[in-house]
Amino acid sequence: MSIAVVTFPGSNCDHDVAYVVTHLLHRQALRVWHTDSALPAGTRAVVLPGGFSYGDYLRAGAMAAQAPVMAAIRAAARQGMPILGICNGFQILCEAGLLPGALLPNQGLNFICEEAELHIEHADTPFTQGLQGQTLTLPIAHGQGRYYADAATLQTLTAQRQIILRYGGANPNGSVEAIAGVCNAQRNVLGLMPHPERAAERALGRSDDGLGLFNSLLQHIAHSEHIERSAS
Amino acid sequence: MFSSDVFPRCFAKIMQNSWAHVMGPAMENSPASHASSLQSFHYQVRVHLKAGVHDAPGEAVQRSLAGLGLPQIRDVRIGRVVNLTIEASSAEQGRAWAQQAAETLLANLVIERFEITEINKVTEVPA
Repeated sequence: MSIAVVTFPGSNCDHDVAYVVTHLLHRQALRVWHTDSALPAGTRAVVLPGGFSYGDYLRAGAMAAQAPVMAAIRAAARQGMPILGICNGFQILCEAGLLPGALLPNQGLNFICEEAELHIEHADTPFTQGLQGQTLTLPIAHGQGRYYADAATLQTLTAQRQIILRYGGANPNGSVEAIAGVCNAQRNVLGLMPHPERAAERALGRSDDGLGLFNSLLQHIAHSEHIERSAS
Repeated sequence: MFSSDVFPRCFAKIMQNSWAHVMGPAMENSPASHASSLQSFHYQVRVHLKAGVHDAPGEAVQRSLAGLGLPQIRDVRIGRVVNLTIEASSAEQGRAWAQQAAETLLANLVIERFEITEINKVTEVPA
């Protein structure tokens, strides 16, 4: 069971995600470069990490969304593979059209770097199993995290239960309906602005609530593999 | 593994595919093979936030202008201008490629709209 971690020029949370996968989940982290044309054999999930791909030029995530590796990620997403986009990874998934909506500059224009409360709205995704109704404390660190979707899209997101995380307490960045994370209609692609990989270990002296999302992913993959073995 | 020229190649590939899509089979040949008939066309792509999409930087600039004694300026919307030089055999072909560039990358049609204008006269591409 291996999890691919994609690095774009300007990604800066890729090592953190690989650390979580390797040292906390005890699984193999497969490092993928943005020019790679295929995901490594054995990939069971993909993480697009945070950072400032291509310097956020044009729009955050815009150019990364056109990188060669995204064709393989689109294909994997279509086949149901779990794809997790964290912060810049969320922006990339929106720019790529794999998730609805877009991320705008924060309402107050500040780069926000603080802990935030996040409500888990739905547990039926590979990333939130067992977390229904929980409130997590996770760090956020972004300048362009204000989620936007037009009224029709919001209606669809609500009806299809695709709004997976909302900010609790004060809305830090002006996101519409305090949305912090959404999934696709298939529910296998999730993007979120908070950084679960930065809150996965008590040794850092803060919340380790982020580990729950990774453990959920691990359980989802193990369950999928069990089903595949049973079928073969 | 780490290459600095990957994006241009990536984008060139997108554009190449797009050319075939937009212009039909005639565009499958490299533009270089038709260098003698190519001209440079100049286009300006202006990208704006759609109405209803909140423009936080625009609001900050509006407040700043009001503080500078210009409270008459009630609304500021900030856009993006991208000037493109395109080698093409006709203005129509050049415009089609500018359109493709805007739709593919320069604008995010979820939040933005764009318009394209040809900004000055054609210049010959030296052989």
